[in-house]
Order: sequence, then structure tokens, then C-alpha cells
Amino acid sequence: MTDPFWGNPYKNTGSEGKGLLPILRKIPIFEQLSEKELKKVETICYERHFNKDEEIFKEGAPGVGMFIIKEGAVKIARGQKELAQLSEGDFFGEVALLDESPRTATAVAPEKATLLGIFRPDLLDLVKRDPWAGSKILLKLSELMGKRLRAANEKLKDVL
Amino acid sequence: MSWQKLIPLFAAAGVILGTFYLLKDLLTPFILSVFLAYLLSPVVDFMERRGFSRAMSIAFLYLGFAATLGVGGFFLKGPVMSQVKGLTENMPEYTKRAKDMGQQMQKKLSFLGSLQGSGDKSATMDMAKYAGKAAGFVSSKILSLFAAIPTMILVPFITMFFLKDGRAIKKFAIGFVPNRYFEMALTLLYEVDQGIGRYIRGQLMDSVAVGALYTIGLFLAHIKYAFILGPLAGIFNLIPMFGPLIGAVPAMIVTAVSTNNFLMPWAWIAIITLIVQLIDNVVTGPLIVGQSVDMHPLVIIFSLLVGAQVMGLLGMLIAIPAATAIKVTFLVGRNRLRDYEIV
Repeated sequence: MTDPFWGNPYKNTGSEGKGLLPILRKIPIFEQLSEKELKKVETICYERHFNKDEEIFKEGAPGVGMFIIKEGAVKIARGQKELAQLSEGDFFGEVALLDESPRTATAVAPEKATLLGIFRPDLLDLVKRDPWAGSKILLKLSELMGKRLRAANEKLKDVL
Repeated sequence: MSWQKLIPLFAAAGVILGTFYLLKDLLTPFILSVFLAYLLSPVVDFMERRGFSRAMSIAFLYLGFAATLGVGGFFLKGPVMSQVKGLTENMPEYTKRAKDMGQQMQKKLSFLGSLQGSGDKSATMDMAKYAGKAAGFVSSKILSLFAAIPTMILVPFITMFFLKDGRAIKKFAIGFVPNRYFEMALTLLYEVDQGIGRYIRGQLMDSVAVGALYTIGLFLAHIKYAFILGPLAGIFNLIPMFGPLIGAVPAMIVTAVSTNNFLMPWAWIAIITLIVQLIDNVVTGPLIVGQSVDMHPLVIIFSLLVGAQVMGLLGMLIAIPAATAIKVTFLVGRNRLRDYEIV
């Protein structure tokens, strides 16, 4: 990765971009995007590094964006109850791309992890610059929300 | 609420602001470029939406500007250059005239009987001195605009980089923020960007409209140096509340020293100022600027004074965007710090 102090941030070493396109392509939200559109999504990704046991976000905090696990693992928990253990290639927190509602669970890195963050302000900017790519992303997000809602309904049916 | 946790943030903010203050003279072309980039960004975004790459969109924009300047320069070069030449050549004579007028005014007002100068100097000399200083001040400010031509050549280049790489620069800068504050900082940056972007675009477009109207009005009224004084009034219009009044002053001073009978031109300048401000407040202002600055007038006045103290005229121009940024930072930051349980 380009050293932020001594490196030239405008030189395209590709070191930060390397490996991002294959990762993004596997995310269902971006599966309908062309190569050119995917490169635009790549420009709004932030690579964030988390230490062992560092909190990524807390339950109740305003949600601003989603994360994709590039390296490492993430544990999702509500209170003391562990809801999911995610690994490389998984994504979480995508609801925050649609609204600022509080996070419904806490995400912690049980080991050192590198995550790609995509945040709502940048997504809105992308929608403004490239409405067609933005629409594709928002449509897939809505499909994903619909799937999750149906799964939750089925679960509720079983319980009731 | 544990505000001690914010000490490192305040310290960092203090270091950044201190650095900006120390480098304020070097920052002038960058500040002007940021203003221009905010103004031109929607145009570039529009072309990007039509399928052009960002670089191509910026190239088209600059070509369009060059063509407009070329055509405009072809038609206006003669009148503008002759006015500039006339003003610069006649400035020493105008300064002398201002002093003479000061003396004459002092004689006429001497019946008031209370205009004694300080110490051994007579009041006559004081009035002449101040009139001469006023004329000299206005002329130096007008001439300094032309001395800033190298800066004006630098500004389009810097603007081009801000337009092309502004997002990458923001992303690079915010990458330094620790994880704990990252989402909050991102949201804050977005809201500040939206707030001051709207204000700068609105104000700049409004000032262009006011400058154009003023120039046309002065030209039609046969006021000397209309092509210099009109755009100058447009620039001063960027200053909220006082800008329109300040904008009329150079016109009045220059007219007073460049014509023998200045009462009629002054009347015209006053009428033109009133008409332009009426059009601005009723038509162009609401259409272009939309909402007025959402700040108490005392806050606006204080910001303008601080801006003037720190960076002179440029400081007054950026005072309100800076105050808006501080206000949004405070309001959004306070809520976010609670939401993220940082304090």
C-alpha cells in the first residue's frame, strides 16, 4: 500500500486496488455491474485495518455503511448472544447504505482483520455521477432486503 | 459526558488551524481554487452523468471557458484595456484631486468649528490627508487585483486538480482518522461539504449576476471605468450584509476624483445600486441562493470581522463558508459524539 506520508497518492501503483475487483465482483450487490462500473465502486472503497478484539461498530450506533471482509474474520453479536461468525469474502451492515437507522448488533474483529468499507455518502455521490450504476446497486440492495425479510417471515411463521 | 476524551481532537484541530494561519499567504490560490471547484463541480458531474470520463468532462469545461473568454475578450478587450490603462495612468492625478477635494470640503465645513486636527496639525491637512489616503487605498486595491494576475493564472490549474482528484484527496485525508471516529468523521465531512458547497455555489452565481447587472448599469449611465467598477461590485457582493454597500464605495470614490462634477454620477450610482439590489433581493437572490445563510446577524458580523483581521478581503470572502463549516461541525459533531458514545 502507498505510504500515506512519503508516497505519491496519485501514482497508480494499484497496490490498494489490487485484489479489490475480484472481491467486489463476488458481492451480490455488485454482480450486475460492468467492469467500468465496478472500478467506480472500487474508488469509493475504504480499506480499514482492525486489531484483535477491536470493535467495528456498536449496537445502537448510527449506521453509515457496509463492510466486506478482505482478510480475517468478524463476529456479530447482540448483547452476549453471538449471531454470526463471518469470514473472508462475507459482507455485513449493508442496510446502513439505505438509511441511518441504528445498528442492530455489534461487530467485533476476533483477530486482526482488513475490511473494505463502502459508505452511504459516497454511494449517494456515485448515484449522482452514474445513475445507471447507482440504480443497479440500489436494486440489488432492495432484492437483498426483500430476501432477508422473507426469511425472517418464514422464521416467524415457524415460531408462531 | 467525558469531554476530556476530545482533548486530542481539539489539539489536532488547533494544530491544523494554526498551520493554516501561518501559511495563509501561500494558501490564497488554493482557497480561490476550492471556491471555483465547488462552483464548477456540478457542471463536471453533469457531463460525467452523460457518459464522459471525469478528465474528459473537465477538458470540455475548460475548452468551453477558453472559447467564451476568447470571444468575450475579442469584443471587450478594447473598452476594458482602455479603462484599465486610463485608471492606472491617471491614478496619481486622481490622488492629488482627492486631497484638493478634501481641503475644499474642510473649508466648507469649517463653520462647524469643531474639526481641529490633533497636535499642531491643522484640520485642513488632516481632511486632505484622509481623502488622499482613501483614494490611494481604493486605487491600490484595484491595482492589486491586476498584480494578482500570476495567482489568477495558477488558480485554473489548481482548480483542475481539485475537480479531477477532489474525491481522492478527501479519501486520502480521511484515511488518517482512527477507526473509532471514522464513520463520524465521514458523515461530518459529507455534511460540511454539502453545506458550504451549496452556499459557495449560490453566492458565486449571485455575485456574477450582480456584477453583470452593475456593469451594464454603470455603462448605460456613462460612468467612467464601468468595466472595472462593475465586476468589483460583484466581488464585494460576496460579503453578506455589507457587500452591496462596500461595492458602491469604490465607484463613488473613483467617480468623485475622475470627474469635475460628481454629484450627478453619484446619484446614478446610488440609483443603480438600489435597482441592482432590488433585482438581487427579489429575483436573482431567491432563485440562485435560495435559503439565506442560516446564521444570526451578529454571528455574521463577528465572522466577517475575524475574517478581515486574519486575511483581509479574502478573509471576509471565506468567513461565512468557514463559519458554516464550524457550525455544522459543532452541531453534527456534538450529536454524533453522543450517538457513537465517544463522549
